[in-house]
Amino acid sequence: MSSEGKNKNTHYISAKESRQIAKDNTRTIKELQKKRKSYKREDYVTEMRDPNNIVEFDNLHTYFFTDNGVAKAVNGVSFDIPQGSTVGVVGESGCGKSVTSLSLMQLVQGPMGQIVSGSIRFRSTVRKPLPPEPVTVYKMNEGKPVLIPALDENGNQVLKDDGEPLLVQKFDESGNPVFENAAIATDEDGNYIKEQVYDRKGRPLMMKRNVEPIMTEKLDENGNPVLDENGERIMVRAYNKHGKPKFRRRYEEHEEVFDIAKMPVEHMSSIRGREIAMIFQEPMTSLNPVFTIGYQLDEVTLLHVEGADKEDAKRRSIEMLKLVGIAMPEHVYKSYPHQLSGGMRQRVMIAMALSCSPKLIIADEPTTALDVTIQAQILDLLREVKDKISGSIMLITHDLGVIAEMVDYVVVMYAGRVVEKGTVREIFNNPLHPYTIGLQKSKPVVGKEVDRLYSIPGNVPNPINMPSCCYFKDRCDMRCEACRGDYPEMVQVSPTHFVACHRYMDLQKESENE
Amino acid sequence: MSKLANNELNTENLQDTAQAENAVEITAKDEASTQQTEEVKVNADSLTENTEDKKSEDSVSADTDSGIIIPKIEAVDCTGTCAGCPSQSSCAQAKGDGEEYLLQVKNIKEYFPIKTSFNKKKNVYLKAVDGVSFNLKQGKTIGIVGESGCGKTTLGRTILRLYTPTAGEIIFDGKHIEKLKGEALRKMRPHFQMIFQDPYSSLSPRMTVGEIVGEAVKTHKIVPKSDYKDYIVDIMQKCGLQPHYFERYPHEFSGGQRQRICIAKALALKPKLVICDEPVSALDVSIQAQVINLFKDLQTAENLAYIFISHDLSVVEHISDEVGVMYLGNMVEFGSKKDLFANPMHPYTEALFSAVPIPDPDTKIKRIILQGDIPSPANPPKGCKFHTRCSKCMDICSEVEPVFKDYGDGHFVACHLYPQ
Repeated sequence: MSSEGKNKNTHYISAKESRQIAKDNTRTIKELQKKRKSYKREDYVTEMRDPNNIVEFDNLHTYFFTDNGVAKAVNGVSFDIPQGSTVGVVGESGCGKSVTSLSLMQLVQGPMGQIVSGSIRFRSTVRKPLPPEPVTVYKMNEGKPVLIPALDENGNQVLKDDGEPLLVQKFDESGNPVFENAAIATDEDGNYIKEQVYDRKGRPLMMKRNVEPIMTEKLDENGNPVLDENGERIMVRAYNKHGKPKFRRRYEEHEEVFDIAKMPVEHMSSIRGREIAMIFQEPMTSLNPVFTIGYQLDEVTLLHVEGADKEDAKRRSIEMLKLVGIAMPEHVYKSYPHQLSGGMRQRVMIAMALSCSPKLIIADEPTTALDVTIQAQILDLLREVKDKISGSIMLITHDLGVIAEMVDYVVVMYAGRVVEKGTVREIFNNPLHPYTIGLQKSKPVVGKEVDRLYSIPGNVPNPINMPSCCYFKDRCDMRCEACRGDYPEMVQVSPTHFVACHRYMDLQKESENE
Repeated sequence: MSKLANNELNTENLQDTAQAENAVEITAKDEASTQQTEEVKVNADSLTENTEDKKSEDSVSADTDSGIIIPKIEAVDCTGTCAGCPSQSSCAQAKGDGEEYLLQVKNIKEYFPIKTSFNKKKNVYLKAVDGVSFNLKQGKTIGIVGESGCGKTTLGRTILRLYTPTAGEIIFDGKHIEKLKGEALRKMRPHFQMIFQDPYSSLSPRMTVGEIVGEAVKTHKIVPKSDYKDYIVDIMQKCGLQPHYFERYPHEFSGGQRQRICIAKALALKPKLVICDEPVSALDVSIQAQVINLFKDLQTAENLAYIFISHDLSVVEHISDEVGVMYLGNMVEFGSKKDLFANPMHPYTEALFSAVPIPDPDTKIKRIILQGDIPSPANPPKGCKFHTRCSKCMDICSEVEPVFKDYGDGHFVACHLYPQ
């Protein structure tokens, strides 16, 4: 932006500058939207860098084009979420944790917020409806036609000229010809042979859709499943309320990697909620107060599960409410959000996120609004369900205690950039970046007495007009001459531990020399 | 006259008219019963007069028919000698001379009517605070912890007289304040101040910082008019605010700065006691540390006493001298910080402490996870209120309410696990 360099003080912008910013913003947003629309399927199907990862953020930039200038909320973020692990993202408010997760969900507030560059690769399970198959019937053995002597009107046998009785084809009562030994034809291995059916004009007859019947458990009068002799549940065909059998479409599933940053919204809506689910910070505001819990839970199932009707959805919702440890699921199903306590509402949110068995759960400060005792319950629950659905969790929080307890990998963010990342042990036992050290020292710990808490001086800088040097320079008490220079590159300290600070630049040089 | 008094009460108490009237109603009800009048009609105004007239005759009256016991405000002055004192059993530190404490809270109760009826026997009360006692010395800090809904905020507000207590005594600086109203209460107000949880909603967006900090200074005439601005700037600087912020509006500040404005607003009246209701819960970790340090610095400089209400145990441990643990309107454990954190005696305290996540991946603590939510205070369980969630529940717990008793060194516990 042209106006960016001019005014140092972002609080006061002249009318002329303001108009210029608005004009620039409109132009850039239009360009970005046009570019986004032009992407074809080939453009957003990519490959993973490491096949063990489920999500890879690669140099992601998400900007907000505000009337005061461009706020670079996420400014070059790269990290991976390995399959089946929990990744924690820590940082102060305003450092871009939530915007990173919203970019992954494609929920950034548009048209102001735009993913400007970079990519988010997500390994998705693509469901493709199978093409319609031709209608087939079992091939029958033709056998010999059964012949019977022909009779005349009086019931006497009709004789041929040579004196032999005239034999004709036998028909059964419905008028079909009768054959000897008629049975389903089998091939050499004993499998039944199927035959294509043709219509009157000789064209092959096709199914309308590729469907299969829905099977359900056989239930007795009390709604309990009926078991056979071996103690296994008996499956029967499912019928709808009109007495017609229910069918579902048949899909073929395969894994494909998509770049969510380029994906069109229509495609995203099949992934969002089904494969990536999100638990929001405030359970008070993220549930709709005018609908019952049941209605809101059913909606997810009805949207994402093929062939599900209201009964299936209800059964699934109650099952989910039981899973998250709600004592009276039927009662809660009928209640409205205001009738539940904060912990219960957060459980409902988790139930909603889990109802499609997602591969990745994004938990955006799931326990910040809750009490310690309820927090302990919810964290326990999250750990438990993660194992049950064998998914991954991206946990966003500013509580280092929660991070230490829950996660495998930690990503420390500051002012839209990753300043340090590594395994949880590396970050807690050997923190390198001054910001990480400051964060850890500023939190009082139960059982550890300190006379005075360490506090990081100053505030998070304004995301508009970021300096070109290290963003943490002004608050850092370990700054050196090199900090005046460019923004530091990521330095690899160990195979999994990375830090962006000038103090560790020597390490990289050493390793390069070696 | 009474109507005037009532109005004043309402405006002063900064609360709903309904609640104020109800509070009066409760007192009024007892008056009616002692007078043995058949009058059922409730008239808050006329009954307020009764309260004033009959104050000296107050005694405990039990409404046994409805099963709800509504004790009256006891007009017993603490003589300093505990022998023969009626509130001795409930008094947290019933020993020595009462004069040395800045604040003494004795068996305080705050009931909110949730269902009122003309037939007062049918009234249903929510017992937000149900008999809490503690003493606070000048320059010390008491931390109050507990889950949300346990009544810690109500306790703070009742001590500040934002609510009128249903029963019990509050002795501030040797004066009974539980029954004060009108001008007398207003005269006391500068001595105790409050800092609220959310700095985003507790500052008026239409007033500048100077106006916010100075509003009460003007009202209470703390300094002469000529010194007014210098005084405000001085206070602001003490709280880490630049003098040129005087003309700015709250929206221009970040959360930490706003909380500093709130602190300056409270300190401008030169209070002796500040009640902090979750002052750092809404702030970031690094800002939290700044604000906590500011609290500590101000305490040393001004010799302030704090009541620090929070659900963050690590913060409470850092800042407090004594800690009280509340559950469902009752204090279940009270003691010095070291004693309480090293040796939690009540099962609820143990569970609460074990639930705090420790920022060290190598330490694995054995966690006691409490099942379910806190029961409704409108219908609390019988006996020990915690027995429904307690892992060490015994038969006696569901029948007899345990006594809040000293087990040495001012470590009070209410639990049947220990000899009663």
